[in-house]
Amino acid sequence: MKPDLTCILSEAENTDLRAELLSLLRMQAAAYTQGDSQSLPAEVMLELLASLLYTLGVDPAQPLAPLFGKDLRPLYESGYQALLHKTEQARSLILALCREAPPLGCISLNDTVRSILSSLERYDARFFAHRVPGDIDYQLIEPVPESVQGIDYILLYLLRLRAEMRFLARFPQHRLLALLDGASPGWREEIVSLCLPVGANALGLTLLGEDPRRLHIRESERQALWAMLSPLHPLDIENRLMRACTSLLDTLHLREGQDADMLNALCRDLAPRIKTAADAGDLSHVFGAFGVPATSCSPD
Amino acid sequence: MLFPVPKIESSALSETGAPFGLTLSPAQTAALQKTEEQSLERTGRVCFGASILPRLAAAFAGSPHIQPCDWADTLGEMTELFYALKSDTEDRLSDDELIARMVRAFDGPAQGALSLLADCILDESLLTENVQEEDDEA
Repeated sequence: MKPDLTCILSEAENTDLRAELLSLLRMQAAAYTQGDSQSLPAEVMLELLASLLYTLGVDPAQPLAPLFGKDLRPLYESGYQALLHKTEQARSLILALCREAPPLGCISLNDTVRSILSSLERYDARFFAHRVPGDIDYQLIEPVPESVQGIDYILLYLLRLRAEMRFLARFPQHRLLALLDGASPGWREEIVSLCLPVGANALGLTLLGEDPRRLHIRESERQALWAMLSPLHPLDIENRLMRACTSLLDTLHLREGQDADMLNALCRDLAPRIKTAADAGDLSHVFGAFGVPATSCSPD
Repeated sequence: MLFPVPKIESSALSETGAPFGLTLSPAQTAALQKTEEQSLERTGRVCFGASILPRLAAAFAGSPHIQPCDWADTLGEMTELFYALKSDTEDRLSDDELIARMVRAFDGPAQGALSLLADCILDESLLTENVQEEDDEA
C-alpha cells in the first residue's frame, strides 16, 4: 500500500519544516506548469510531492526527522544533482552489462535492458524522480524491493543483473544453452530466470565435488544428490548450499559482494524446492538435464 | 487540503469592478472564496498559487452581458466553470488561455448565457485539438 504523503506533511505540522516543504512543493508545481496554471489535479500534486520527498532522501515509510533543522532548497538541489549522477551511472552499468553478458538471445532480458536504456533518456529527475524508468520483464534471483524508488531501483536492478550475467559468463556458452534448452524449450520467449537452472546445477555439482562449469548432471549424480539431501531439514539443506556457495564463488573467481548476495539468494530459493522435490523422490525439476539440440560436445 | 486557497481582500475585487459599477460586499467575497474552495474540491484540484477570482473579475467586468445585480453570482458560476473546464480540457489550456476563451465565448456565441458557455469552449478546444492532430499528421 502506498504511504499517505499528506500524512507525512501533517507530521511536520506546527513546524517550519511543513512550511518549507510546502514552499518547495509550490515552487515545483509552478515550474511544472511553467507559470501557465495556478492549480493542478490533486494526483499530479501528490506525484510532485512524492518526487520531492524522494529527491530529498525521505523514505515515505520513515519519519521526516532527518530533515529537521536543514535548509531544504540546497538539499533538494544536491539531491537532484545526485539523481543525474545516478542516471549516468545507470547508463555506464548498461554498457558494461552489454559487454559482459553472454549473448544468449533471451527476449525478456533484451527487452528489459532496451527499455531501461530508452527510458533513462526520458527519466524526469526534476518532477517525477520517484518513478522507475523502464519496464522490467526479466526476473532477478533476488528481486529489488518495491519500496525502492526511481533511479535507485534501476541502479540496484542493474547491479544485481550484472552479477547474474557475470555468473553466467563463467560457463561455456554451449553448455549454458544446452541446460536452458533442457529447462524449457521456449526459454528465450519466456519470462524466466536464466540463473536459476544454471545456479542449481552448478551448486549441485559443487556439492558432489565435481567441476561446476560442466553443468551437466548425470542421473546417477542426481541420485547421489537425493541421497545426500533428502534426509535433511530445509534449513540444513540451505546451510549445505551456502557452504557450497563459498566454494563455487572461489572456483568461478567471483569476488564481488553482489556475486555472493546473488548466490545466497539462490540458495534460499532452492532449499525448500529441493526439499519438496526430494520428498517426492524426483530431483529432475531442480537439477535439470541438458536438452536438445545439444552441441557437438559430449555431456561430460 | 495541501494548500488553502489564498485569501483575497474584498476591496481588491471591488476595485476591479468599480469602473463598471460592479461591487462586492465582504460577505459576497467570502462566499466567492468558499465557492472557489468547493470547486477545487469537486474537480479534484489543488490551488498552489493565487486565487483565480481576481483574474476572472478583471476579465469579465467589462462584458456587456454582466448585470451589476448578478455580479457576485456570475463570478461564482464562472469560478465553478473555470475549474470544471480546466479538468475537462485536461489542463491543455493555460489559465490565461482558458479565461480568454471563456470571455470570447461569453461575449460571442453564448451571448451571456452561462448555460451555453461550457459547450462553446469545449467545442472550440476540440476544434483546436483536431486541427493540431491534423497538423501533426501532416
